[in-house]
Amino acid sequence: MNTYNMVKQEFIKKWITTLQTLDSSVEYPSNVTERKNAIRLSSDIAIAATRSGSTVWSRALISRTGNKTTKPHMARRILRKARSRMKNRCSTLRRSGDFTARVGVRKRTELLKSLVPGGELIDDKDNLIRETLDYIVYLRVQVDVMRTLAAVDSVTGNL
Amino acid sequence: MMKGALETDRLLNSMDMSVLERQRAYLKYHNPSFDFPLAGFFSDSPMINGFLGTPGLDIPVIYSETTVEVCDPSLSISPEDITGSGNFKKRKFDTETKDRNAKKMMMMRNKEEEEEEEEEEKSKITEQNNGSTKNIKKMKNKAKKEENNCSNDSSKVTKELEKTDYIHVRARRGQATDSHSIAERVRREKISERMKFLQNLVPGCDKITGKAGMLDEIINYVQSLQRQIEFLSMKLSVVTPRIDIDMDDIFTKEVVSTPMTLIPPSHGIVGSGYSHEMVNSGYLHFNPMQQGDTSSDPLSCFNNGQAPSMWDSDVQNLYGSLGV
Repeated sequence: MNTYNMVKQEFIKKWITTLQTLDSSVEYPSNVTERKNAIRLSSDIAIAATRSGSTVWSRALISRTGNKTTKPHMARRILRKARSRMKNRCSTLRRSGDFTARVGVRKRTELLKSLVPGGELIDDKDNLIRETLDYIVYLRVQVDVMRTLAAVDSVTGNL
Repeated sequence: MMKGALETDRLLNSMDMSVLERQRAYLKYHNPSFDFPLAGFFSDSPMINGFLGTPGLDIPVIYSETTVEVCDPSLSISPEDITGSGNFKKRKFDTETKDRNAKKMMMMRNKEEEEEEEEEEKSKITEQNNGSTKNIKKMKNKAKKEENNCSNDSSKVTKELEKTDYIHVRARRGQATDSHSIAERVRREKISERMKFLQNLVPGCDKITGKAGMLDEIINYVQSLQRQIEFLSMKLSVVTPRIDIDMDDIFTKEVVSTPMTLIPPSHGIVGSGYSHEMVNSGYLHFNPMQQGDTSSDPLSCFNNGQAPSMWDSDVQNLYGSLGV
């Protein structure tokens, strides 16, 4: 019954696969920033794969990371089902700055669209909110798992 | 159960309810055993687990380009395993078709079905990629009206598609009967319901009314989650110079459902020991989350290991607003 934990386990499995692929690659980055990017990328792919294609954000995330990664075959291996034909038009994150109430709903929805991967492709506000909701839950999964990993690392004193 | 039926009957007759409430009452009336995940959701505390169990999260294929004609032979509800109750409701509804056929009721009914199936589907999360499930969802989506007509025409879910029936709408007192405005009303109610979901999901959203403010909160939350992920991946990249994970070890561990074994901290470091650590500690951490209280969730993780670092304040602020 515990679907949240099940999602987490799914995510972990997929993420481990990704990390292993990353690890076995020849060009494993030694620089911290590179490593961080690789970890982030792998985790994004894994979380999108866990959601696996029935939401806009997961497909957009896959296509976006597919563009960025130097190893498209890695992404393809993990994501057997996700054949995204959606062009990724998601740009960089826009900081909200000082939105006051008078700016209103429109600007905020645009900002939300820029945050949620694939959000810009959604016209219907109704669906945008649904996507955001789903995306939030999966973000939480990612955060929880990563936090657990990080905690483990400190506990074991792994360095 | 009787009391429930009477109560819902009373609800049905009242004219001052929102359409959604009316629909729910209607469904309850006909399906007294049907457990309303939405109702349960609103009465519970906003736990992640409970929330995930509710429908509306597992988003169906909304963006399928094909507006699938319902009652397509390939789509007819043959996967009875998943949609058994869905079928049941359709047939039952069919017999009651004569009385009060509000259009919104039908749409809401379908929404309920969809949500119920979403809930079931969510619980079998590994079957997400089940083709038949996807078909069901596609069918649910745009072709609600066709589905209504279908169930009107025949006594069981059939394969023909006929748009012969008009959908009769019962307007509320003092509101326009214009089809556009009714559709608009439905849409608005859906949106407001979703906003309610989001309120329960995003911490600290209860006090805020109005779309702009809530959207603000949602945006902040998404941004902070994304930032957390950045921080965490940076942290992970610092702490683990080499990620050496033994797959077999992990999968054997996964068989164990709820391990409560305590790992002595002096256990192995890199290599297979690492995976052992990770998985078991992972499960260790999962267990408190199970009972949880999402608010105590991250903090318990922190307490298990380490001194909180700078970025933890970010998280603690976030969860502090939950109002523990």
